[in-house]
Amino acid sequence: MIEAAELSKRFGKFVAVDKVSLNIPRGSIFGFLGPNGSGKSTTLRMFTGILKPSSGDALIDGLSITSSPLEIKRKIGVLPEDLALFDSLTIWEHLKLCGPIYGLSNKDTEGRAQQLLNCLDLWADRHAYVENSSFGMRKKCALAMALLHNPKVLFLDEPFEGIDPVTSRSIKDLLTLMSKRGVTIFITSHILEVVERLVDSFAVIVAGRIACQQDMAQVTQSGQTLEEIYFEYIERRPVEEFEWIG
Amino acid sequence: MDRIIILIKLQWRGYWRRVQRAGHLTRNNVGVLVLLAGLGVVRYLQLIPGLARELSSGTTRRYESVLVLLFLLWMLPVLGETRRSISSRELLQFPLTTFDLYCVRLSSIFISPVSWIVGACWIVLIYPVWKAANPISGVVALILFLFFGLFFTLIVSDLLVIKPGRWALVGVAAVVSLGIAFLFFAGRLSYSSHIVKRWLPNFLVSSAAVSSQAALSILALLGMTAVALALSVWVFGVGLYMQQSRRGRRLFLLPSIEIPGKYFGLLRKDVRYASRLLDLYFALPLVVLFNIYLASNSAPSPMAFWLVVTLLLVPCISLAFNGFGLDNPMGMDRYALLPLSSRETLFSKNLAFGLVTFLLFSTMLPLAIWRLGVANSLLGLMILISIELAFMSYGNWLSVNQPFKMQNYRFASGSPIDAFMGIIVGSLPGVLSLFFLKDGDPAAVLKISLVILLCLTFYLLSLRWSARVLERRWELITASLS
Repeated sequence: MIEAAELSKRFGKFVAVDKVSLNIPRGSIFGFLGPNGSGKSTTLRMFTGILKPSSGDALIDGLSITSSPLEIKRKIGVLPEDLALFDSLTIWEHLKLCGPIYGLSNKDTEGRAQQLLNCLDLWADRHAYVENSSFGMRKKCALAMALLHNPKVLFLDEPFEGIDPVTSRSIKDLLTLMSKRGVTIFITSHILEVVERLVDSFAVIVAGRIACQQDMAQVTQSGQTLEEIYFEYIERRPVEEFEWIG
Repeated sequence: MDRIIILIKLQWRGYWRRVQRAGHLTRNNVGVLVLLAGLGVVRYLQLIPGLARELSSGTTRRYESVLVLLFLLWMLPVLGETRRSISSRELLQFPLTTFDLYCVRLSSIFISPVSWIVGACWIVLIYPVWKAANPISGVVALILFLFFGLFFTLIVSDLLVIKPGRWALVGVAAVVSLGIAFLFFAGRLSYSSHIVKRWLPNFLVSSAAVSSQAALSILALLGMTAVALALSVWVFGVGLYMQQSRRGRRLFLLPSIEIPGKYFGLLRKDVRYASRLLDLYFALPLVVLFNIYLASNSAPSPMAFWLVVTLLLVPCISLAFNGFGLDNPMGMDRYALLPLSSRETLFSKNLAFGLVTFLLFSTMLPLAIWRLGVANSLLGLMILISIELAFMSYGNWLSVNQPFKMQNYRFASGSPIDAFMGIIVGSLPGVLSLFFLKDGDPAAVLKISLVILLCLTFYLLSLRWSARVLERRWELITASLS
């Protein structure tokens, strides 16, 4: 469903993503892990058409991100890092904006929006302006926008960060259900415990390069935890003795 | 004090980094602007010896006009300011008092070279004042007026960014307008304006320089400046801690109607953004005055209507010439995520511009139909369409090539050269139509239709070409809006 071949992104001389190759089958949940600034979000931005790759290509549902970006955008749902919301619209207006652009009728848009907002515990606040909403509310709004048009592939950048535990649980259940119904889900996250329980396979990216790519079943069989594997590739800095603290 | 200085230093650094990022002198006509500003300063300096002669002989009329001009010029760096590197709200987390934050806000104004030029123009005025009968009191009054102007502009600027403040300004404007109308109809406008004029700051400043009641003028100015400072600090503090309502409200320009179609959501957003740009509000007095003219004149002229339609779009040019200026990088990311082609994205921006200008036009339409007839009103609509197409043709090209960030409740601070060129190009179909209609040419309608057709062709070409540029320059445009 998602196939990346030597995907790279350079900003001047800086190489943010260096020849990333991935293969994610339909209906699976894939975790994309790595420290801050390692290239996770840049890779996701290339998959979703926000950034153009400097070299390489990726196929999503058989369509190339370089030659068919519009067709891909119709098939995917995205929760971007910056949430990509418009300041002066309410949560409800954001959903009403998205539906018709993805070809949904007014009735379908409103029906689906209501279901999603109820699930995300956002219905009561649907008329709140996003600029005056909390980070969690804004994230839920962006997530509802990503799900509204029933995408075949879902890209989620840090979906659980800033979300309350109850909604977090609802999102996990929803993602599991979607995966069972054939939706491919690509998640970046720093919360390793959540990723460990949710994903079918994962990759660790360090300094723009894929350092490791494994199935979760392999990890479970080997008796290791995801955190242990993660720290095999990511250097951990010891905490210094700050004599001035306390 | 150190903590305020370090914050001002950071603001300074942030400002100049943004200027450097914007590019070189040829970008956005900065070089031409510097040249024009230089010529303006030279012309101003040429005016100074004449002012000195007039003040030494006790004539103050031109001096008072220059003071009004400088007072209005203060508005440029404050109401046209681009985003500050660190907003006052972002500093609330630090242990700083409201007055500390106010000092940072006040000092930030002087980071912009525009304020240096305006400040220098004030300082130069000391020379002619020195030649007046009361040089010392004249200079003191001038300095007080400088600060009064600064505080007054800050009050207006800070009121504009909070909702009750905007209503307060509308209220003051309404009361003043009603007061003037009442005095006018009571036949006492001339007498009252004579009394009011004596208490206007520019009159007090000139009076301090030449009259025998200098002390009284300075005292009055001192009082006004102190009140302005206190009000300015108070308004700043209120705005700083004011929480915006979370609940959505209906937009007065576009009520909660639902229009089917995939662009409606984007249109709603863009019209809402547009309603926060101050430039647009210059069109309102034009519309109001013309409606009064239509209602009160016994035989209103259709030519006047067509002329007003031609002028109506001028205050809206920033929307056409800088289509993405009110968006931010997050909004641009959403545009990138939506399954819309670059052409559709630009088209949605053009639709919003068309809708805003049509809404302004429609406020004149009922009276125009009543007083001028349906045919003349339709001709007005045809003129509007031709001008809109011309503005959008030129505007699309500018929007993708020279985008710049515009701030809510501020004037757009784009290049006046581009604006001037755009007004000439955009108004051309309107001027042509007026020319055809002037002599009652029977073929005028046909000719205007041809103009519309020509404008439509240019528009479609511009849309096609600009969409390609937009696709290529998307990341650059997004970066220029941060």
